[in-house]
Amino acid sequence: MNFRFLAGVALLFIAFLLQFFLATAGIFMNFFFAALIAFAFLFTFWELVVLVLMAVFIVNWQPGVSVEIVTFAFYPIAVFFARGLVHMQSWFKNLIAVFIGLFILYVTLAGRTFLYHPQAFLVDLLGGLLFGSVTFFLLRREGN
Amino acid sequence: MAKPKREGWILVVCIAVLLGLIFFEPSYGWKIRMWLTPQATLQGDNSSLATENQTLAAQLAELQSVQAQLPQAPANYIRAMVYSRYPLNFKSEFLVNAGTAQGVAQGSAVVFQGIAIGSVEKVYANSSLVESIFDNDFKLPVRIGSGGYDGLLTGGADPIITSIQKGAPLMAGDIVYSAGSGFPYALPVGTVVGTTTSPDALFEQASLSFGYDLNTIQTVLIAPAATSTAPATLTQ
Repeated sequence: MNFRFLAGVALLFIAFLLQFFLATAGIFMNFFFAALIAFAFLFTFWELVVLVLMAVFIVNWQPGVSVEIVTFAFYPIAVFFARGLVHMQSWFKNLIAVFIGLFILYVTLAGRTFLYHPQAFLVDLLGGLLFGSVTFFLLRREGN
Repeated sequence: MAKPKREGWILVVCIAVLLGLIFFEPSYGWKIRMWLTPQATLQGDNSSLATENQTLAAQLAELQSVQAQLPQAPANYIRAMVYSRYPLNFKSEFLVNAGTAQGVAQGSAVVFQGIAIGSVEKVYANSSLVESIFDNDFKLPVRIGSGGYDGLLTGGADPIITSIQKGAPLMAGDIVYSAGSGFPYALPVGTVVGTTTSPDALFEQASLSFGYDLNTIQTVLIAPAATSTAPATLTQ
């Protein structure tokens, strides 16, 4: 178990703490989703799977499987496999992946919110891009 | 060479443990979430008084208009604790610790301090998923005030009553109570704050106020299947 992986676990918990704290104030962000997407550029496949399962375990709110949980679980894995297909700086690919992830989340789960209250998406996007970038730059190593 | 192999085994064990927890003991995850979520402090007297006021107003409206039509049945509501809440802003749902084993049925009304706050959406063996009135998909036929004017409660971040007949003499403070099939009759839902004309100009619509904060609710009562009366004196 290396230090970067443990730092990733710590960042995931910080993302949850921030997200749940802001939610009680009526501000909804998807920090942990942004962190998971950033992890796809930073960790090995099996490390990513552990972090994704950890997030699913904490965020799941019902016994059954839901579209939300499937998105949270599989999108970072898909990003992991797609990251080599596009030739750009990793930090920029991370931003694009966060944007696409949140866009998919809003369009599939909250089409009406996306259409009639785009500001909710924009605030979430801003927070996600920021937290995803912070995660990426804190945990990246040479070559990322 | 031995270190990466050992790390690989640790990761495999972590994955196995997490999969086991996710599929067989998800309640530990809910407990971690409760631990990570700061508890709101806006509980107490104001909230209790407001909900009590709404309950009394609903009972008054009920007595004035429909009391003779209501059979008096003993309240055998099911008490349940809130386990976890929907973590995003797309829905307003929460999980409670009573399911089919405790007699919960799909569509049952969920009550907090005598006020309807949602209905059971899915039922599991020992838990149920509740859709609150703040969910965009929530719909419930309601009546308003002592005149009993019909309307449709439409859920959302700011729930409103739609399809109210034009010219209905509604006033701020009028109680809104349930009138939908499968829901106990005359369960208070909230009070009218103001009215406007609907966008198509055919009906009136009313905005509402609620005497509770959904995020602070820890205990609810679930109406048993086929309950037809509101709980007159139920409180958590």
